[in-house]
Amino acid sequence: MYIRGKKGVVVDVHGVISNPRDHRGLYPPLYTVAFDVAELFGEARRDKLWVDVHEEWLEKA
Amino acid sequence: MATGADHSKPHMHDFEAHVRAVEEDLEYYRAKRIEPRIFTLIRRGILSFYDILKAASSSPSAAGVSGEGDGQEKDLESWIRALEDALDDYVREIGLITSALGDSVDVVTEDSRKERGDYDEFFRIAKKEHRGTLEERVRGLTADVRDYRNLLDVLTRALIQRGIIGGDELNKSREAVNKAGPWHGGKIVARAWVDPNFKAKLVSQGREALRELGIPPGRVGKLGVLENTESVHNVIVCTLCSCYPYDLLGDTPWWYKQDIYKKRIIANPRGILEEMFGLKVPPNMEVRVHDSTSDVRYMVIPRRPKGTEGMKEVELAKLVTVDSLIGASEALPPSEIGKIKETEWGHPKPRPRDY
Repeated sequence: MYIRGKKGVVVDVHGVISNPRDHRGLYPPLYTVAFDVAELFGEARRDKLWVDVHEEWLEKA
Repeated sequence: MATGADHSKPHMHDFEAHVRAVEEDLEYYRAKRIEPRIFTLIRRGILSFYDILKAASSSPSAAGVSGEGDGQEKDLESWIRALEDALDDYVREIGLITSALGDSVDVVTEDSRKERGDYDEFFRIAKKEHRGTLEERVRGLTADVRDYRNLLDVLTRALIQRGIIGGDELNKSREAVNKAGPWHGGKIVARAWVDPNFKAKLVSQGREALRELGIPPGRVGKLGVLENTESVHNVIVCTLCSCYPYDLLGDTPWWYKQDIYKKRIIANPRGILEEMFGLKVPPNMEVRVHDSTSDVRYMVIPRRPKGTEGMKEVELAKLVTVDSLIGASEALPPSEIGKIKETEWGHPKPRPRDY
């Protein structure tokens, strides 16, 4: 996925969300991580990308 | 079905965009929503091909739009509107059936994604190509909708014959859906504009806050609420699966589900907003793209347009478009009520609820 190996800032913590309609079982806690579009896609843009990611994909920076 | 020109509706300007939107949506609903569900039923031994054949042979001749010779509307515009109405019926019926099935068959969204090839191209159902002149395409689409709806009706009959869904409950649900009131999206945003307490509750509680509007909170994950301000313009995408709070807000436009939006909006948000939607965000504002998961599904509260002081909620709701809930456009200025701007990307209007 496009954020692999990139650094971002956690801006929201959603915790564990029960969503039995979508998937069986509970997923790990969900976080919103903010990235600069410029850093991810290499252009000089001021825009941000806030990506919701489950904990198992995250590593402490 | 519409016959002759409907003068109560605004003039259709871009036939190509309307037809393209129908093509994309029709194929999406067939190949991504209903046909994979039929495969699931067959795989699990809930229904068989033979049940379907039996139901087909025991039914009256193809229902759907109407008999031979329909679709020959007086003019192309009416014909396209009739086509769009037939598509909406088809989509609504798919929603009703999958909802009825949801009560008796254990299928979660993850299953559907697997079955329709979201994770593995091997399982994808090929989409049909629509070629020819505009008129040929409209003619072809009219026949396709009739055929696809026919299968749906046969499927329903087979499911009822097998006792998997109840005919009476289905009819009751259909009545409830047809009686459904104004689009929730407009209602929610209008109230948020007018009532800061409601807006605060919406942001902090999400779905629960909707009860006070008489909107059932729905059952699919949490609702994330993103407020557009003078400094931040929010726009949503779900690159993995096209998630959205469908159950609350109805369906998204066809482009939301396609790579032409999903892959590009994250790499060049400002540029794609301008290219696809003619939306120019001022350089001093931040464009913030939210890439969501199925657990938290987002809606945008667009900024309240100028010149709307003192307007009633019911009127304010008409300024809210499906695009503005995604962040692909602003809400309409009061002068534009009822005139959704036509772009190359089609004419998103609130689609029937997806259960």
